[in-house]
Amino acid sequence: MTDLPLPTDADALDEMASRWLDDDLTVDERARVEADPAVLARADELAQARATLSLTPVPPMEPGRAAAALGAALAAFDDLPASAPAAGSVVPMRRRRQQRVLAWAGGLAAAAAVGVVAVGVGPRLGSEEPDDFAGAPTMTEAPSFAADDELSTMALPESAGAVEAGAVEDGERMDASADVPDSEAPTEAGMDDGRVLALAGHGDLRLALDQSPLPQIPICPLGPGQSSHGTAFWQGTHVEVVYDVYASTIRAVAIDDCRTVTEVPYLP
Amino acid sequence: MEELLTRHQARIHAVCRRIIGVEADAADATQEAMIAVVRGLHRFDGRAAFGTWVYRIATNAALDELRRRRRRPHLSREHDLGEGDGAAEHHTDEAAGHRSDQVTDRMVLDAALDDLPDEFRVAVVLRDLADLDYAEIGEILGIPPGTVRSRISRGRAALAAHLGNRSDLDGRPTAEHITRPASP
Repeated sequence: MTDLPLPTDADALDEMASRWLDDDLTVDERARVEADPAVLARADELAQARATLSLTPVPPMEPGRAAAALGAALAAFDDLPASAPAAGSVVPMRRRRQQRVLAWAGGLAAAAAVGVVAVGVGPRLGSEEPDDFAGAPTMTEAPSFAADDELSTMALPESAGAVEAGAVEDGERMDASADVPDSEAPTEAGMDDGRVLALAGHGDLRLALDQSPLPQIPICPLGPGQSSHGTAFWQGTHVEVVYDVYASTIRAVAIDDCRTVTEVPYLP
Repeated sequence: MEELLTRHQARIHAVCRRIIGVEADAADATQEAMIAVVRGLHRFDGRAAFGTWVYRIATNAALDELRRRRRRPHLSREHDLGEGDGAAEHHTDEAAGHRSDQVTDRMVLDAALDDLPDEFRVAVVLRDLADLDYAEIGEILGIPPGTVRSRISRGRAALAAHLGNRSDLDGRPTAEHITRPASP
């Protein structure tokens, strides 16, 4: 496929060279570019222009002007009403539990329906029972968990501080709360989207945010600038990981009573 | 809050300065952007990196400033030299000579950026200065990725032409000779 001709139009060649610089080409396109000295020479020219722009220092703001800008922004912050709208919608814990019960009921009803069909079809279908239920509605397919489902497609944590659940049946592993950990011993914690984080120290709390950057449906009420980033266990307490952009902190908020268990500074 | 703003002030200003070109206007846009960051914090939902969100606000503030400037009469787009960069500066030593070179480079770059249409300049600045990827730039500017690619390509080409960049690769250039930024 590398013998396909490159475009002859100058703009198209520039775009190929520019995309090659940004590593935005397919394998085939990249091979064609790298086999063409003219396009590579053009890429070198564009790279020089790019370097000039990125490496030529931007003169800093005049100190008095910078201070004035900062002061104006802080004044605007002071002028903010105390009850600014919260980010995202809040789903109270009780309602969330109701949603789970309804979802379970739906799942059981669907499973029962599948069972009736299986009986009607005969033993061949019945012999594949575990797989048959994969097609039935599950808790994570319930509408109320749509946001969590999206998150479940995210890559699992790869760091040493995170481990995958071994036997997560419903997306959570609540029994981990029974094992009150040593102060710094990692504790497996069920995430609502099926992932598991092991939180032990402040670094892990930051890790939790890094690995779950998308906001989730909050459990506890959130204030202005706060977003929920999943649940975990913090030293034996089931907590919600909350990022507070105003305070530049990450909080572990107890799910039971929404009190702040711990809080660490975090600057994005 | 002060620490958060201070942390991002320089990058907000850099984007505004490169998009607008005139320091006084860039400083105004920087201030507007910082105020917008504060007022919009409750709307930050974490769907983008915080830095990208800040760049979006800075870009919008810079574009607003450009529009305002077009509406008011002015003689020309002057490129100020900034504090201590005056032509009367005495170049009595090597450091001063180097500083003079830097000022010259900046003036050449400012002039080259000034020649670019706004849409090309903004795309190139967001890619090559702010180091945003195509998708982030598209989201900030509200344009599809294909348009982002085209604007960056044409912007870089125009910049190269203005800066007089010529490939100094002898004979058959190879990919290994060319330094590439991180993938978008």
